[in-house]
Amino acid sequence: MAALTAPRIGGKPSRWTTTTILGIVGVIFAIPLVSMAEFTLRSTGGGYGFEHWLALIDPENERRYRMLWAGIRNSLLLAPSTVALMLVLLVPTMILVQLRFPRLRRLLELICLLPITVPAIALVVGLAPVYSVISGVFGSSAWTLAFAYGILVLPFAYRAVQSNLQAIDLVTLTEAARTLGASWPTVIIRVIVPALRTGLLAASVISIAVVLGEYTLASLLNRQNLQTALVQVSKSDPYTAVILSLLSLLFAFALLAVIGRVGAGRPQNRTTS
Amino acid sequence: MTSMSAASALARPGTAVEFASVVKQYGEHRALDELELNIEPGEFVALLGPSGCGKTTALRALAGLETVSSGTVSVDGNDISRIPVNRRDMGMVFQSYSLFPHMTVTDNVEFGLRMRRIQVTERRRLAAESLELVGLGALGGRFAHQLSGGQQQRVALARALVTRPGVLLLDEPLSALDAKVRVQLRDEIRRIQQELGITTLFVTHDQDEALAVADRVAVMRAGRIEQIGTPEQLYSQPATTFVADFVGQSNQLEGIASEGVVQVLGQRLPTRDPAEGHVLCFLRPEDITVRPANGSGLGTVASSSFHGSFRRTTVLVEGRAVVTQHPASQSYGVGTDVDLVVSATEVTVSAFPAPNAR
Ligand SMILES: Nc1ncnc2c1ncn2[C@@H]1O[C@H](COP(=O)(O)OP(=O)(O)O)[C@@H](O)[C@H]1O
Ligand SMILES: [Mg+2]
Repeated sequence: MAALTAPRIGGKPSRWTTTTILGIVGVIFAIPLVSMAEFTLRSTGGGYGFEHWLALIDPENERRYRMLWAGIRNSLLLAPSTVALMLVLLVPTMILVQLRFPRLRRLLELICLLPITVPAIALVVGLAPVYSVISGVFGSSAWTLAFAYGILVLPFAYRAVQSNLQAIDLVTLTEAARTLGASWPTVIIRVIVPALRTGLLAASVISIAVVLGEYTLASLLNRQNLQTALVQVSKSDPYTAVILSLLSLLFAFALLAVIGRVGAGRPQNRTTS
Repeated sequence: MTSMSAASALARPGTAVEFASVVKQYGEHRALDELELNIEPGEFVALLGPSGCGKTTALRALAGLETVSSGTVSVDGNDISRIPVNRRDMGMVFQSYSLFPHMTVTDNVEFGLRMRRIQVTERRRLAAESLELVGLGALGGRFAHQLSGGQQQRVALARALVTRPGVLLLDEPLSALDAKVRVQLRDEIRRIQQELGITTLFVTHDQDEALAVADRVAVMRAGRIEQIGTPEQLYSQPATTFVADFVGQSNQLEGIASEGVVQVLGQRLPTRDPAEGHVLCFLRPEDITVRPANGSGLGTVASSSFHGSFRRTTVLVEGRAVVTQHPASQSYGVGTDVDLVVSATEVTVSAFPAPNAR
């Protein structure tokens, strides 16, 4: 049974090699994190303590951190909005292209990967007039930045979903479900979405990571998000900025761990006999 | 392995299928060219033809996965053109692996029953029964990636049969499997089809497969049925040279015909073809045997291979290779001069040079 599912890798590296390599990489990643943690624990009067961490949640400082909390709130609102936008617009498009218009696949790929090659500043120049219209229609509440972020996450989300699409034969799965009596909505809910689960999750998580780390667009479009707030705060209060950077880094690591788990959770459909 | 009660519970009266002047046009290309095909209730018909001749298109037109440009496809006399795929009541097994990767084997098999809103307990029972039928009763909890290719196709078969469809459609279900599994599963498909009495259309480009399992074989070419008949009919009385060439192995030899007799390999043999003059004759290896040369001999042995009960010996006659067949007890060394004896009762011929010789 084990032999049936175990990947067949010729000549695995020895345990010692693996441990050493992982150890070195781990240390390299840990150094900035540990340094940040150390920095946040320095007391103003010398020695170590949780003084700066406690200050952050001290009701007395509420005024001082108001902008910071607003930035966090906006980012936490933007993340799901962007994911929702991506899931609602990109995913159905990709499925439709895969099933009905395979000739458009190349074009779609090109369009989706394009944002990577456009510098953020060029994007802003293009987006500024668009946003004057968007503000007119939707107002200028924080979540409207999700339209711009939808473009930013496009390349990452596309790759994540596409790699999943390539691993399965969506056309045949769909046709099989249809011949077994499934209506189109049922095919989408019971077959397509579950079969693309891995890709959809990875795309969502990576989109969240991109949104939480975004600074340039928000700053240039005069919006507040986590990163712009951090920059503001760091000017007057480096400790708080570092604490929050540390937390958001750990959060990003956790998200990446989730991607890894999801990706490794279940091997993809084998395509050979 | 399979209980007969399972089979009889699944059995139902067969369904008749008819293609009438079915045309499928892809731009300029006619994939189906006025296709005519009748399948009797409970009959197992194999659609045999070279790659690209329209077999899959015909199958998909019947399943509803492809619309037809003109003509009608009917089931039990009713035109089904307007019925969508999911209401056509047909079980289909695909060429590529098609199990839902996120579901267990049991969930895969139950899918069609779920779509028909069958109660859980009944669903479980029917799915188990169907898995039993394909000999995979013990693997219900596995996922597709934990199965071999042959097992995956068995599950696909169980999934297609569980709803007791009127028609079973198989599109080269064995082509991705290795030779041994292919033969096993092919025979099993036939056994199951006989047990259930289900009308079956089996698409293949492998003539051995078609001849081995089908009640009737329809040889297809360029969107039309070239000939339909029992495997025996196709083999011994091919209606056209295309069929003679495609079904079984044939020697194509030059001959001279006149008044129902053709002269080939130095012998005079009967033919039904009215052709006169130079013709191309199709002769099966088993219709030609080898005899030790009487004098200089007709040809020279070029090679010989052992096939268990018989040998195939290739003889060079005036520079042309002629494949012959004879009992394994005889054997002729390479370079030996030999005579040939043709024992065909009737020879299939075509005008020379043959327009469709391949
Ligand atoms: N979707 C399509 N668009 C254009 N041409 C097609 C399409 N599907 C099939 N064809 C053409 O129709 C012909 C028959 O195809 P098919 O039925 O798949 O052949 P077979 O199954 O016998 O190998 C082929 O020449 C193929 O190129
Ligand atoms: Mg085909």
